[in-house]
Amino acid sequence: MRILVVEDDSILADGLVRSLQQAGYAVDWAETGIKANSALAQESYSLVVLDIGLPGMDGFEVLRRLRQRRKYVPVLILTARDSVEDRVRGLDLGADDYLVKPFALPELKARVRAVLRRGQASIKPQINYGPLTLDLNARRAWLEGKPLDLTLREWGVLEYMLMNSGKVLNKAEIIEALCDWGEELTPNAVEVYVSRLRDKIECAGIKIRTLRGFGYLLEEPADEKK
Amino acid sequence: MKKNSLQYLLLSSLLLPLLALLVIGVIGDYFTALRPAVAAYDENLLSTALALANNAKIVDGRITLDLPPAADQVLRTDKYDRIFYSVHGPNQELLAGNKELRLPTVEMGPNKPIYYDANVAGEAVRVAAMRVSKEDTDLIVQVAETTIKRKRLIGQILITMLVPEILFAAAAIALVWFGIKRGLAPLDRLRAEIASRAQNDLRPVAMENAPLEVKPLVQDINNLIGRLGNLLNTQKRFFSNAAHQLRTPLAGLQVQVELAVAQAASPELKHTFKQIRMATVRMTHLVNQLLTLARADPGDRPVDSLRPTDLCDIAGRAASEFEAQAFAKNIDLGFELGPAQVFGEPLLLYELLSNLIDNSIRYTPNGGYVTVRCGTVEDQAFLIVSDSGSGIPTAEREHVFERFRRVEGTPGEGCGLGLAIVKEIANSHGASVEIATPSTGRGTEVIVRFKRLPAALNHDLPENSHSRGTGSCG
Repeated sequence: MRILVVEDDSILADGLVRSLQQAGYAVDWAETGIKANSALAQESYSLVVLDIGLPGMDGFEVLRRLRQRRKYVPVLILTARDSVEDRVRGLDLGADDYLVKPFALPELKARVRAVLRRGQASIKPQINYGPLTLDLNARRAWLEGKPLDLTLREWGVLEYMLMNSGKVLNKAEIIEALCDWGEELTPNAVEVYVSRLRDKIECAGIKIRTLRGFGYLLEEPADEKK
Repeated sequence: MKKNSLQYLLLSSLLLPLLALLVIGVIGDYFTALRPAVAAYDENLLSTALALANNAKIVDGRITLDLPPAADQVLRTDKYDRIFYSVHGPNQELLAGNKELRLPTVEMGPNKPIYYDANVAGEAVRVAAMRVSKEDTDLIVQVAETTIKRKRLIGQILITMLVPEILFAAAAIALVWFGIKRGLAPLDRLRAEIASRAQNDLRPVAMENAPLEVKPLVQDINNLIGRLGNLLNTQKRFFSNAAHQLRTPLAGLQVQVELAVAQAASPELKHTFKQIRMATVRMTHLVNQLLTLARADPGDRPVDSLRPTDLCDIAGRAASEFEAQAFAKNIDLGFELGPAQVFGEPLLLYELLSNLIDNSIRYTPNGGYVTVRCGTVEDQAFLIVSDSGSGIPTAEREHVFERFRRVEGTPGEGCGLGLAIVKEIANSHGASVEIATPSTGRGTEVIVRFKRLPAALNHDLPENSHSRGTGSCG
């Protein structure tokens, strides 16, 4: 998997490039928006880690041009600005995630994995998550190679959680993600599905953490954290 | 009244000349009134002198003054004054009357009376003198009287003139005083308007109500305010840029240190790198806190930066942010969120909440709990963060909001700005902060109570498209 790091600060860029390389990715570095723009026009990347405050063409503009080309590449924005407006602008322009500087490396890696997973799912409809494999077209799941018996609702919750692993998901978001499944869901129903999912997957070491009164977070499988 | 006050200046430059004019007027009037009065008395004296001359006779070439004793008595008696007379012959010899009444020093033409002041027996007198011809003999007849009557007259004239003049002066002073007061009233209103402004209100002063003469001043003040606003904005931008610029090198430092920690060959080196990493994290925290504190300063924010915000959405963001930190300490992070509309700045409200949660997680031992609650009671939104930590002693509770204040004997690496930031942001939102003990009797509970939302806003809340945690109140 090939990642483009767009960052003008050479020390941070060096750190990002090396740590992503150590995590097993092929990494290119562009130090200006113009270089990033031409690299994105010519090459094909699995992910762009994009700084906003760039000299000349800024990150927002790089993102806007990337989205104009209608070739989907997931984008993780890095920025020193933490205002709500900047956050919204990035997401409105089609960024997949947003990280405010400075950040912890494990946090960045987790976000990169989650964004990549979502990006992969749009190309190849299969998610591998440690011992868990999901076939998105067939809506079937395997755990440690054995078929996993899931109801449609359980499958929906699991798919949504996998797409957003490492992130806290509140019950309302889960309900919203499942709303095109017909009837209304209640928070209590979500609790029931999560509890059943736990029974089925925690034996293989995939943990769902609870934030009391708020929602859930799917822990990443141990072998993905490098 | 201050020397450089406009009122003082106007009063002194108007009143002093006015008073001087009054004095000159009084003096002028006095002399114009005095002259005819004095002339009347002088004429009187002259008639007496003429009567005297008529009584002079020349008998055998000698001049005699035939004055019966009764006439002499009448002549010498006056209600107020004593009267003297003298008649001198052509050789300046005293023919009759008082010898102390000497001849005038000036040359006198025939039948032309003169009047002059003199002294008789040590008394000031007024004299009427005339040269008359009696059968070819020149006589000089003089009549003098003391000045008591005249002085009384002067006194009377002065009183009748001065009383109205003084009243007139008093009225003039009063009119000038009130006129100045009235004239300066628009300035007073201008001052009051500027004085009553909020600290961060840099709108131009309204020109419409200012008097014509003051308009240029107001215009200049507005120009000054404008320049000041620009300067403030420049400084704000500079500060914000500086803090933001710090973030990129800090991010570089953090990433490099983490790489070093992962790759360090010896345990000693690993330890060193871990210490550097810790220092980097603290420095980052401090930079963020300072940036927040600067942002929370009400003088540093535009007046219109507040918008209707639901605390639920704020809490939703905090949930994602602090899950890992709580998980690492095996702390049960819980939420009890009800609808809580406030009028505020989302970023600052988030900083308020995240500082409270950060504190709670920091000072709660492993295995404890931290609970975030929000909701609305009697139209007032509240936000509560409670924990099962060591708690804050009652005596310390009023001090913990001071900047760089840390409760003695507490572990952790806080910079002591957290609660100061909470207080500052709460203040800038008109909210109160109270520290209590949770109902379990252990730990800390921080309660933030917000102002009642203006009714107009309560009914017309826009969909908050900026929040990603919509519906977290569910």
